[in-house]
Amino acid sequence: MRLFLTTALLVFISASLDATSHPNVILILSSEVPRDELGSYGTDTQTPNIVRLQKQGVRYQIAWSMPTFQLSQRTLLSGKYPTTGNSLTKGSTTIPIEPKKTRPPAISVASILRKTGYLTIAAGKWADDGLTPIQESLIANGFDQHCILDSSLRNQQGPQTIVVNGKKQSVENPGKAINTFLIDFLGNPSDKPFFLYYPMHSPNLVGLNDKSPQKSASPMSHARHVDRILGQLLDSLDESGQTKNTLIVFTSIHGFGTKATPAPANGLSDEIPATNSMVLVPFIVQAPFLNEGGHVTRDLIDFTDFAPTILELTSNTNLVDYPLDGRSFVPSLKGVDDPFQKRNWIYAQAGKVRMMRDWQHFLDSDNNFHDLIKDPFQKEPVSPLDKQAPGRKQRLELILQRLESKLTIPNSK
Amino acid sequence: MKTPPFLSVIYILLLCFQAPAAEPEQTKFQSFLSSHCLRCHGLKNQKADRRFDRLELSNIELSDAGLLQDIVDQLNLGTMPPEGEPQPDARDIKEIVSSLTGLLNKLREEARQSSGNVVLRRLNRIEYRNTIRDLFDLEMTGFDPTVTFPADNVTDGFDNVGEGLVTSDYLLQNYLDAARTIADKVIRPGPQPQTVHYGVGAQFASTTTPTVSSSDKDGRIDSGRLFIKFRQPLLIPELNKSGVPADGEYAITFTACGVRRQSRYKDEDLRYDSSQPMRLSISIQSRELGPTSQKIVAEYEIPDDRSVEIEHRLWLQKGFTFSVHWANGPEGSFKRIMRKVLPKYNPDALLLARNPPEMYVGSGPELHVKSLEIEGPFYKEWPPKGFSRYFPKPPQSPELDYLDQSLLRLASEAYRRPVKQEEIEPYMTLARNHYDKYGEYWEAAKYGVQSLLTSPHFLYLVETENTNREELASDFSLTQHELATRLSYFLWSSMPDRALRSEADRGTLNKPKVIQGHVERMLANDKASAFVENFTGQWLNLRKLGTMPPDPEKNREYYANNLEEAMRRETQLYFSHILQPSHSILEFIDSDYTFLNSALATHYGIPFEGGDAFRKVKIPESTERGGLLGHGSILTSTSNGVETLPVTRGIWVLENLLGVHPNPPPPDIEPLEPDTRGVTTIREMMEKHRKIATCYECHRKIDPFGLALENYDHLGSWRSIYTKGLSIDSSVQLSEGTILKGPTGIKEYILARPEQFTRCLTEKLLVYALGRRLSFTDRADVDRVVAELPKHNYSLRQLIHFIVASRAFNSK
Repeated sequence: MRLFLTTALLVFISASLDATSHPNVILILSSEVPRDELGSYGTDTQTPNIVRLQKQGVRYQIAWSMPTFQLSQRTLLSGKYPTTGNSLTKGSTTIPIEPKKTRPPAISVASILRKTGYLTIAAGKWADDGLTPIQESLIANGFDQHCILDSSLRNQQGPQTIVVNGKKQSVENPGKAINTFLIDFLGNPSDKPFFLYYPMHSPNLVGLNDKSPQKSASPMSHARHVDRILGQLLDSLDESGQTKNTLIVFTSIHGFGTKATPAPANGLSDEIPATNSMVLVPFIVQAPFLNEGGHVTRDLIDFTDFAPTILELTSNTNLVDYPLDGRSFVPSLKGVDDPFQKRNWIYAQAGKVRMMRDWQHFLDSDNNFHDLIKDPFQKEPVSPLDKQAPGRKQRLELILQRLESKLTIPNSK
Repeated sequence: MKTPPFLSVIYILLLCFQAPAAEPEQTKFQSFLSSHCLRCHGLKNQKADRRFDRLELSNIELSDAGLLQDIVDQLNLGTMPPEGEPQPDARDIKEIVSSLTGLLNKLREEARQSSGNVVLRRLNRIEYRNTIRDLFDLEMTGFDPTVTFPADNVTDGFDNVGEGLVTSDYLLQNYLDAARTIADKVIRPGPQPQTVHYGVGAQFASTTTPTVSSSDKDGRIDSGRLFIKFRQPLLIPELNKSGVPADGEYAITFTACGVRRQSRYKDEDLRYDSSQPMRLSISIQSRELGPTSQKIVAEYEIPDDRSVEIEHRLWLQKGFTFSVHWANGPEGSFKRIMRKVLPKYNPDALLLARNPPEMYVGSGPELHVKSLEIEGPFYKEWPPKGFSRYFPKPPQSPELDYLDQSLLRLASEAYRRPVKQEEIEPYMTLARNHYDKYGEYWEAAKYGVQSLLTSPHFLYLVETENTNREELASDFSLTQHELATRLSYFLWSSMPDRALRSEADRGTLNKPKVIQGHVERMLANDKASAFVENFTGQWLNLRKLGTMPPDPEKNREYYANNLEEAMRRETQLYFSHILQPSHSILEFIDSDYTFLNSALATHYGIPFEGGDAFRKVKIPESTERGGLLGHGSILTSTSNGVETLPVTRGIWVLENLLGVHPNPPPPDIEPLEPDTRGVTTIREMMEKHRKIATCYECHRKIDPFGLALENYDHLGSWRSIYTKGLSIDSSVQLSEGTILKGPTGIKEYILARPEQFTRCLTEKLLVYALGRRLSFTDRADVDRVVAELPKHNYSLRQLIHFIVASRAFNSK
């Protein structure tokens, strides 16, 4: 009897996990969202769901990614910069610090969430080390479930192979398949909160709706496609009543896609120019349990901030025993004024170049210094008549130096 | 032809016997003079520029009467012959004084017959301004038609003395221009102006796009929310272009909230006092008139963390705008905070770099203004009183008779007496011609008004000679209207009001009880503040306060706490208080109270509860204050901002409390070099005054009073030693030998001879009231007052009544 009561009590307690202290988390990465230079994304007619997300959420004007998917994934999930070592377990090529010595891998935030009772799902893309089988890598980094289109298994034509929870499936339209998987998942909420990590493939790859994969189309049609998918996900959440306690982060891997900064014709390659335009990405956060949404902010964000934010929201900050490089943006979401609780610089790496910026100025390790408000495309040097610029530059140099002193491994590609 | 010898002898004998043609007085007088006076005031020497050897009592000229009076005064005071010289017999002095006084009285009467000067006295700047205000019921805040007028000359210490009030062609031009401006303001024939409504804030924001955060600039608009970081002004941009469209009353409404009054930053770093509640001030300015027109009109306390909506009503002249400021926000520049303060608190900020403002905003104290708007103009009545008084019910179509009648209405007010139509015929013609030429009715009206306002009957306080001189040979009394005018400019520095004017119209003003009643009424009216301000401004040097301001670096509190204004206010309140019935003028010399606000009390070292408001405070026994000599205003205005000036102070005491006028210094005297090393005291530096005999003559009278006040520094604070540690010796010896110590000594000295102070104050008030210099003939009035006032306990109010009742005041 006593055992029964205790168990019942435990079950009761675990079942009644306070929703807002254990919100659902959805992280969507998509590179197809065009935006204008001021950052308003999409239009009511072409991309209504992106606009809907902005109306319900907070739009961050100054957010930086890491310019490749590999780096982005590692940074997002670990909360650390590549240079301080954020390689994930079996998730990426580990770079030796010195010959014969390797840094222990960083812990993925998904692992921590899973330990505390979250369901963790990865869908779409996954960056691996090219050696380990995908499902092993995923599980090692904290994901219970997955539905991934493995690029290594990609066919040039015809049906593609997706891996769903370890099993391979052959599908005509992988995009649709992945979407269906997700809608099913969302439509059947369990009593556990979930973390969904969904880097979207380019529609070129996964096909637009019912069209076959290879047929490429205009960027706008890509955007519309992504918008539709987003819409379906949002609708599914609404219908299942989970919107109120779900945190949605919608962002991108690289900043191209604007009229002024179109994507390079040959796609992204190693020869990516290290500029603000490359890493300045859309970043929309919907958190109905923290704010009413519908506003825009110039608070600074980079990809190391995601993990600390999730940890703070789920009250798990103490489970990480090493310092994270990012700062939680929960104060920013709550609308706290205090700048001491928010960032005053952000950082990214592109190739060998290390970049840093604040609200107005940009500095990289090649000593390029620009005023991004007067000169967003970094075409001109800063005017010598600008009295504030030297001080700003010196400050960024100081912080870059501080960061570099923590670096002990050369940056990866 | 050769005179026979014996005739010459007789001739000589006759001559010898002619001399004592009675005047034993003359001989007595001559012998007195030669034994006690002529050595220094005769042929060989004329100390203090006075020479007595030519005086002949039998043949005294009016011009020498003043000299005789001087002799009497000095003998009475006992200051002559000076200490160290053989003193005359007391009986002799008495005899001489009485015979001289009798002679002087006789001379006075004779002089009165032959003088009868009509004084032509024009309105000075302040009087002009006040008169316009009252003539047209105009709201003068922000409107000063006299702003370009030349300053008025000061005669005998006052700027309303006719002799000094010259009229240059520059002033005439100014009169014409001012009259035009006034006419424009007054004549408003149209319908009431429509109200406008401007604002900034959430409900006025046109877009929610956030603006780019710039740099150390002004208040930032952030999603429709304004806030003030520091002391820069917040204003409504739309309004700023051209100001409000019309004169009138406006309502300014704002919603504000204080945020993080106490923050993580220390007060010293921000140069800010976080213990004080936040205060928002409203100030008005006119772009056209420039920065000198800026004035703070109100201050409000803003609560912490709670929005408050406040409406403030005020009068704005056309073209004015307003702005709000955080009155007690962090001082100094935002740049300093970003460069020097922030790095102390935030490790990501670099010392001495211009760190981004986003790193500070949201962490320190801020005054948030959520909305700011202005609406108006509102009018209690339309058309405005000043217009409808002279132009009642204006006709729909131009009527020249109406214009004539209106000008007549205006003239009888502006001339301060009844006016016949023929008198202003020329002005009416001017207006008519203007209308004929240009065809604009109201422009012609303005022209007519402008010309009336430049008439000498308006600009001057005209007192015409009595036409029938032979009959009224001994009657120089003022007419009713002249009396009303004189009384009104005395107590209000402005034209008579309706009640006074009606009394004059009825012809009953000069009845003693009637005029006393008016005096009481006028002193109780707010307009009497003009008397307090203008009289004390000149008698007590308050106008000089601020001409030699102290060094801002070393005297921060003086500026931060607005001590100058506080000192002025203290003295004005003190005077107003003594003006109440049942107070004595001797309280000017010493009393146990004064009027302080908290800033001034701190300056004097007197404990005080309460904030900024002035109130009467009892001076503690231990503090050496009390009376005018303890007022910061007088002590500061008689210093030069760096150090005290004992000579200036001494002269001030002599001229304004004792009624003695020392001679001016000889030309080419080098100023005293200040000893900035501080190794000699000022007393030692003034040694030259003692060593050189000619200097000593005058300075023996002046220096003691100044040196006795040395315990008060250049801002009136008490000190017991000089800054470099030298001790202050405040005991002094006066020229007649009395020894006094410190300010208390001076007060005791003056209180021991109250009639001297009474005479001094009476003379000053009389000059101010009459608007002319005192002449020999006025002495009788002054003497009477000095004799009577003690019986009324030296009441200042009674003194005013005496002056108004005096013969001088009622005569031309």
